[in-house]
Amino acid sequence: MKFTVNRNAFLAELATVQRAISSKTTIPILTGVKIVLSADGLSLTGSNADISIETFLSIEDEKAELTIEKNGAIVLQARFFNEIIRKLPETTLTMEVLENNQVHIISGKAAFTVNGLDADSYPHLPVIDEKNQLKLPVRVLNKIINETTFAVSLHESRPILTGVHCILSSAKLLAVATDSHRLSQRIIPVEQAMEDFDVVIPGKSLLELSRSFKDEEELVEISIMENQVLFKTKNMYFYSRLLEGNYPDTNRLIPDNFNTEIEFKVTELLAAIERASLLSHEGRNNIVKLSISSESVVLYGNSPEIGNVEEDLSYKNVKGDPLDISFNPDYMKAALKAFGEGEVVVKFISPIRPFTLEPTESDATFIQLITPVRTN
Amino acid sequence: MEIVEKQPRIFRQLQKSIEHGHLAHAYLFEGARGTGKKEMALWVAKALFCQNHQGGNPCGTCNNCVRIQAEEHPDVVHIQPDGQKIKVDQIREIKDSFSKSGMETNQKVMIVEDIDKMTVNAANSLLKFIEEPDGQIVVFLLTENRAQVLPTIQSRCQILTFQTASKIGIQKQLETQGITPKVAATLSHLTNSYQQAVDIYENEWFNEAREAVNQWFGYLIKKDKLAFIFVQKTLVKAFKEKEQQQLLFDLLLLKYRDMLIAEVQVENVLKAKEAENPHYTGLQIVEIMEEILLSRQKLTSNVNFQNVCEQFSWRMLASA
Amino acid sequence: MKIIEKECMFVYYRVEGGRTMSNELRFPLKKDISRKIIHVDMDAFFASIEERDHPELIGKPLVIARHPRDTGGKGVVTTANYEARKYGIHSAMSAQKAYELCPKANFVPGNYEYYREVSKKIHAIFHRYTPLVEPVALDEAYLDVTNNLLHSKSAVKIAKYIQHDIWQELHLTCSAGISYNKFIAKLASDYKKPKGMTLVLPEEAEDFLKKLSIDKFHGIGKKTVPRMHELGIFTGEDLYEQDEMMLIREFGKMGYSLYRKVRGIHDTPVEPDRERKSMGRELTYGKLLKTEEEVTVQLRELAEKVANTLKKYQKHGQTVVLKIRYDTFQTITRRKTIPEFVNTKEALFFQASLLWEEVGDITQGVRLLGITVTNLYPLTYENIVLPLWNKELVDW
Repeated sequence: MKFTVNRNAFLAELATVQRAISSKTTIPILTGVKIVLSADGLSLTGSNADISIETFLSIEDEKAELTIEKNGAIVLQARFFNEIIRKLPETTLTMEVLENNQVHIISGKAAFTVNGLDADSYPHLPVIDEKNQLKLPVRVLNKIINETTFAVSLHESRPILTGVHCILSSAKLLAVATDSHRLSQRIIPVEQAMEDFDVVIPGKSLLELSRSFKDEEELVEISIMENQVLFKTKNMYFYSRLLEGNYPDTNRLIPDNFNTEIEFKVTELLAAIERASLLSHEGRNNIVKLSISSESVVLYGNSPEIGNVEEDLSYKNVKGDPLDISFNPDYMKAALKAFGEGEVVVKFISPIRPFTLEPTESDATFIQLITPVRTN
Repeated sequence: MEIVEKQPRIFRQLQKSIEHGHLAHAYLFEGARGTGKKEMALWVAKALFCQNHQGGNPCGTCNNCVRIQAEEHPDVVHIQPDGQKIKVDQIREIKDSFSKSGMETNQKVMIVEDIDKMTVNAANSLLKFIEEPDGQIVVFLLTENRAQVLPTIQSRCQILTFQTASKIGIQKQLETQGITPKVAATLSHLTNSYQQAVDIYENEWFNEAREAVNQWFGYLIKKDKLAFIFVQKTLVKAFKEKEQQQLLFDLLLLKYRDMLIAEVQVENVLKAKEAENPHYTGLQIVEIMEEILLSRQKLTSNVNFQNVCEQFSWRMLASA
Repeated sequence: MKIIEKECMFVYYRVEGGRTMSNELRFPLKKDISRKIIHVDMDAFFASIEERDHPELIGKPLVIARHPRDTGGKGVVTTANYEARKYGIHSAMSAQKAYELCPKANFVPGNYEYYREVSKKIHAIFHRYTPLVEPVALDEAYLDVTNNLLHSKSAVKIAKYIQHDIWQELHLTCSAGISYNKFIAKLASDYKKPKGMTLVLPEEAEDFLKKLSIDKFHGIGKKTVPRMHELGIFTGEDLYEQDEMMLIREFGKMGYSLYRKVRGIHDTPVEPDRERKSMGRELTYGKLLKTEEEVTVQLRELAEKVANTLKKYQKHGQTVVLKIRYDTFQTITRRKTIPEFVNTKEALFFQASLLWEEVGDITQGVRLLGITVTNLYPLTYENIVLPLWNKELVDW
């Protein structure tokens, strides 16, 4: 393998795949970055076994200034290699793979020879099925991720709950996450040009994916393979392993009959919850109480050694039976933040049943559930 | 020696299971060091991933086989205890392997060495996964110490016992490695484990030791006073560590044992040649062997090595 | 005889003429008689509440327990009124046995939420007189009225006011014991019951204690009484006669404490029940822990002690903290927050041993272990959980 490339362009690609490389790996070769050169261009791959990122620098990309002398492939220690490239003197560099996997790196007057590993030893990523893809704008995918991933379980006792359940069916993409104390579900209509799928994607992978997107206006193509999901943009392939097992049926958990309903402005309610939780955090018990009657809605926080807080909330409408209910303010905060601006309607059944939050002009496409704390 | 020769029965059993698609999803391989447990697990892994099967056997040369052998395949996960325990991080790795899909395909293999070093809590947290794994996974739990493996784990695995090769087996094995029959025989008597026998042999010191023993033996049976001087001049310098000192007496014992066998095998006294070695009756040899065992015991009780050897030498020289 | 007293442990007696007497372990025993402590003990509390609310129960034997025929013979007596006690019925007895002793007795299951509310009202009355109120279960409390809110020098007067208020406002009676320390005050309240008031002055204390039967001494449990009897100790006076070293040898720390108590020395202060943010126990080991088994045994014991404390205060928590101090005095703590509330000794032991596995290193020799639970919530607080794995229909 031998080629010359613009150093900054190369560094940018390295930085992208570096996100997936971790020093704690299951097999040593994954601390390396795989470099493959073909007639079309240069591809870099980094992976931590759970997520893998592949980028592509096309020969037609002018900024890359890529000239190919000989195709080939090699794996190099990622961190070390990165440092070398960063510190090279000139704007371009040449790389050549010699006998026994040694690699020559030349830039101006500096010349390095480093040991590499056989690229055949690097894990093989699955091959995509070009036909079966779901296309979405990055902006929309990011929104779904932000609206659901926060609700996944952080405990490994039930590993499948650490992922987001994604179902494609009847031209709708449904994403739901729960940790058994709260749940968030988002449904969006899509143009379905592929078969139905039903997979669970690790929450961590989705968060990393969200951070890897560079351009919100791009389209991302989603493919599901046997054991991985692939998110493809123009220059990046982002792979993630899936979680195995059966995700619980969450549809039946979403109630449809309620006894009490109130409408709030998200920002106002959020601010009030934040104030009340100041106390509960200080007092180390994470509970606030909401008291609803036809005349008023009051939020209470109480911590015997510290003090207490009481706030009359401003709300838009209140319907139904009076109610006293206690819950964890952190769950409420996370839920409200996922709504952004606007108004939300909160619906209750009883003090010991979960309550829901939806945007006021709801078409049941975005709904959250929070379970209360029973206090008597 | 190939794994098929080391453990033919187990090999055939697993081969058949693979052929018929009846592989269990959890195995407990128990057996002493060197009996081929890891090799067997790797073989099965290769059989599952090989791209080039040759009549039910993995080819050994395709990319998958090569990576598996080098322990570099992402879907063949190896876990070893960190020091004395299998720690929490490793348990997490194990659980991850169980709950996530494979990286390259849906098939996963996990090999856990020294499963008996897993704490009770850790083992309990894995029971669910071992009993009903999601996805396609085969787990190999290896142990040298079956008694220490939690019964709740044992009950969820198919248990295969890796026998140690017989002495003749070990001797033959060693001979195939180019070791002379005499030395191979000696080694096979010193240890039950082929691996250990090889270790001893490869230790350069071993040859020195054999030489020294032969010399001392020569002096002893001739009741030559040099036997006594030999202790200080050579033995003390050649056998420095406790294990080596014990080995000295083990080797010496073997030499007398050979003599005893030869003695017993002589049926026709008339036919017996004038032995170049002085003649000892069977009874006398047995008594000497007891002395050797006593001396060895003294070493274990930390009696000074030189003293033990010199005392032994005197006894031999002084006996009738 | 010249006495040379050192600040440390030994007191030497030197006789004129030069003979040294034996050295004895002697701390000068100080008796603090400055405090005024009242022990208030509600008379047959639960039974009295039920009688008050249901006058038809008055005058007949009443047992607070579910009727054994409804429970299949299971269940235990929480308490009984004075009529029932005449039949030999007492708390902790099996309901079945109580029934056998008095088949005609009324059995009323306890309503603890309600009793707790009543207890709160009684405590509100206590707090009118002093902030130093230490509750002991729902029906007893110690009050330190040395500096009380009425600025009265008479503890007896305060005790009388309290009895009066409780009767006037709640229609319940109590007995009070008054003395200069908690130990004697409690024995005093028990001396005359019900509706009793017993005062034991400092100069009367020794006599009072000597006359008591040994099984009345708080701290001497069912198992210890026979041992006392074996040693010939039947009364306070017998106990008084005993040598301190012998008591320590036979009964350990309790012996040390009894030696002082029978002499009227008990300095434990009245501790008001503040809202506690965490509950835990730690132990220092004179003999370093050197094996995993030893650590496991100790963690189990600590877990049980913490679980008992949690139960006493009716709490459970979400965070478990393990503290380890090694021989080198290096101390580490590690904590784990779990989604569910825990308070059982099994759960605490489990979490603590997980933490030990994560960071514990037995090769360093362990000098101290501690288990603490924080993020406490009242036991009545329960995290509602979505029934994810329950395949039945959900009944929202």
